Amino acid sequence: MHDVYQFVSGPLAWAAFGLFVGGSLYRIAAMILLARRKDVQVFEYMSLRYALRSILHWSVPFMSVNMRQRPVMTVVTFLFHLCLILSPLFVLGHVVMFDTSFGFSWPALPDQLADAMTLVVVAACLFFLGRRLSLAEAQYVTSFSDYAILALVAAPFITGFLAYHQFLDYQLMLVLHIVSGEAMLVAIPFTRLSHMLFAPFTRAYIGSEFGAVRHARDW
Amino acid sequence: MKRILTFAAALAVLALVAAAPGLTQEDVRLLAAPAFAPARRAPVPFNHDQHNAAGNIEACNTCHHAYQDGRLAPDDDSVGMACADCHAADGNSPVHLMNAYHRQCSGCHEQSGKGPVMCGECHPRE
Amino acid sequence: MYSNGSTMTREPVQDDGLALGLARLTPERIAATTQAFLKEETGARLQVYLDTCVHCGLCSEACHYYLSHDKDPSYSPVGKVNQTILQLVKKNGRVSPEFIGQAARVAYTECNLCRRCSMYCPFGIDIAYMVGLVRRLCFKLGVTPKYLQDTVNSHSATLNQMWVREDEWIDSLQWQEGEARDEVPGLRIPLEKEGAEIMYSVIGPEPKFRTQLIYQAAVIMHAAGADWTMPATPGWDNSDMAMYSGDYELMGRLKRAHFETAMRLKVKRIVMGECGHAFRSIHDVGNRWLGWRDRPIPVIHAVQYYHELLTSGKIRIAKKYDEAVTFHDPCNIVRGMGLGDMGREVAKALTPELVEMHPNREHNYCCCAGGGVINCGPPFRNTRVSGNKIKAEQLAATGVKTVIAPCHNCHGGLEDIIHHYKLDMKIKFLGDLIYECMEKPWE
Repeated sequence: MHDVYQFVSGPLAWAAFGLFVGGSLYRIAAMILLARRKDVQVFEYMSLRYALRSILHWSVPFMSVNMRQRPVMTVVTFLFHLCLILSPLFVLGHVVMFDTSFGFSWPALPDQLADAMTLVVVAACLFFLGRRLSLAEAQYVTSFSDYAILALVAAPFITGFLAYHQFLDYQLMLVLHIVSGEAMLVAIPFTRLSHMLFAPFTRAYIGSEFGAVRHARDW
Repeated sequence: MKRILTFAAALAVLALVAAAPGLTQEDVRLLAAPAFAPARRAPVPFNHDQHNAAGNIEACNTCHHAYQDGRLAPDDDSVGMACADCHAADGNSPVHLMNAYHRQCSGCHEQSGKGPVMCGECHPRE
Repeated sequence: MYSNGSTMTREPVQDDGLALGLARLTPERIAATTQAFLKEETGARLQVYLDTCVHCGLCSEACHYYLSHDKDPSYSPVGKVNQTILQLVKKNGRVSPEFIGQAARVAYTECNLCRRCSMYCPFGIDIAYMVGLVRRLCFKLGVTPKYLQDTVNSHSATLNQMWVREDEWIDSLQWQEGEARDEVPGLRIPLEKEGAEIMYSVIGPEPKFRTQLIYQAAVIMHAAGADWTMPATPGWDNSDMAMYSGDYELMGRLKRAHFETAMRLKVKRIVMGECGHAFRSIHDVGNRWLGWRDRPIPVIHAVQYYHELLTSGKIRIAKKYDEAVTFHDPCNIVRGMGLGDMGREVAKALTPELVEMHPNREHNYCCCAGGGVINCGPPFRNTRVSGNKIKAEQLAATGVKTVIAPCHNCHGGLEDIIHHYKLDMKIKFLGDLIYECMEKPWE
């Protein structure tokens, strides 16, 4: 198991980060180049002011009409994304591993808080699963890949929780945690998780069209 | 009610550990440098003689290394000194105390292919 | 349980245009046309939109079709994307003629391209753009609804939407001028007046069967002392059904003729009648096809012009309209130009009370006629009317008897809804009320 651990936390981690960063840069650059050829209006009508206006209204909870119409979904979505991004970046284990390898660290979250945030992510994934299964408008457009992506996101958090508490087989859980985390990172540029990369652009563009061209709100 | 139950459970566990045969204070030390207090992870149980026997470690300075003018002094050792004497916990030394432990222990374990390398293998849940 | 991309359950509709087009299709031709279309005419926007959409369904509540059909998910915006462009991309065009028939029906008759869903998508995905792509492909495959295609054919042959011949156009204007001179001595509808300040442009249906609107506009222009003209040549029609059928080449011809007519007359600006889709075509669709970032000449909508006339005092209001009204926000000038407040200010100046519909302004529900849907004609009248129960409920909740809608398509759509749901309501243009309530110094 130690060989496996050393492999997944060493070369495989480098590969995963490389694919995540390189893949993300590649996809954004490729889209910008494609847009320059095929979607010139995206650049022509991009307006910093209205892009930021739109991003602001959709980054603050309850600032858009749709968010106010669905308060539960809004709260869950915001908590989910907040915990999803912050807990891996600031959980003690990750900060310490980084420090050990690179001699470089930053403040970590208290353990109980990181633990709670992990559970929030898992609970939110269950909520999204329930939503997909029970809401007709979501069910109608859900395919296998939507469930797969949900599982991909939940997996590192479930295994991370189990490994931290040393429940079940600790060594196995830690390895699964690392592998699933790497899988999720690599999936970001190449699956629908790429909304992480592209959402700022789609928002900025529609915000610019609505604000600068059509003089209307888009929230 | 919940607190009382937790407390009772903790007491029971302590009693079991204390009653376990062969585990005496002398054999197993807990690596708990005062500089770490309050520590966020459990101190690492460490049996000096067993560890050296298992690892075929003969020279003291394999672990108790000594540096002079920023260079490793291969014939010297630092037996009798605490790690924290050189490696400050607050990050003011080139290798702060936590990194000194982590790199020293798991670095060697990884290289030699022996001994624990995963976080929880050394730091048990309390 | 719904399966992804499944065909929806709809009453069969006989549309000769769609049927004719489908009869000529083969799977090979569909694949070749679709692949060329995706390669040549789509790019980063489509890819990013399809990749970014997480199928959350949050756009559903935005759509009046969805709301009016008891939340049937096959009418939700993302549901329509899934039934059409997503499958075309996934299968790289290898779909059956039946699939294209369904896709055409969804794209042409179950979406008004009202763009409300973009305001509900957390990512701001431009779903109307994607539905527009489906229409463009259907046009390229020759699968277009018959009535819509007929207006497009008219555009192509006459540069106006209603098969109005050049002499008929001039006759209609002179006829209205003659009628109006009985009421207002000295009134003119200046034709071909080079160097006038304003070129007034209307849509094809005005000379065809709403000539009183030209009459009213002439009276308002006269009272305001406007320096205006109308062209005597093709190019007078600002409407554009080609934009909605997917015939963008023709859309370009229409917009160029319109702009060039104004340039030839050396006017300072174009004032448009109360039409929504024509405004969209001129303001941010047709102009772009021609390569204009903005417009080659300033263009304002009637709502803006009326507002200008009232605030500058060129038109004075003599009396108020005799009852409370509500104000319908046309998508193309409210979500398309933010004219909701200006329209309300004009309406409030003319009426004793304005009762709001909810939601309103950018969040209004579409009339369900726009986006060329009403132009798909009788075969799809029920699609429109049953697809907008929500609007009927919204109208009824105001309790008023008059709805103002500064848009021709909205008039057509609301009229059918009011009739079908047996609402006791009249529909007015802002111009109707201004004509009725303004000071007429000659009286």
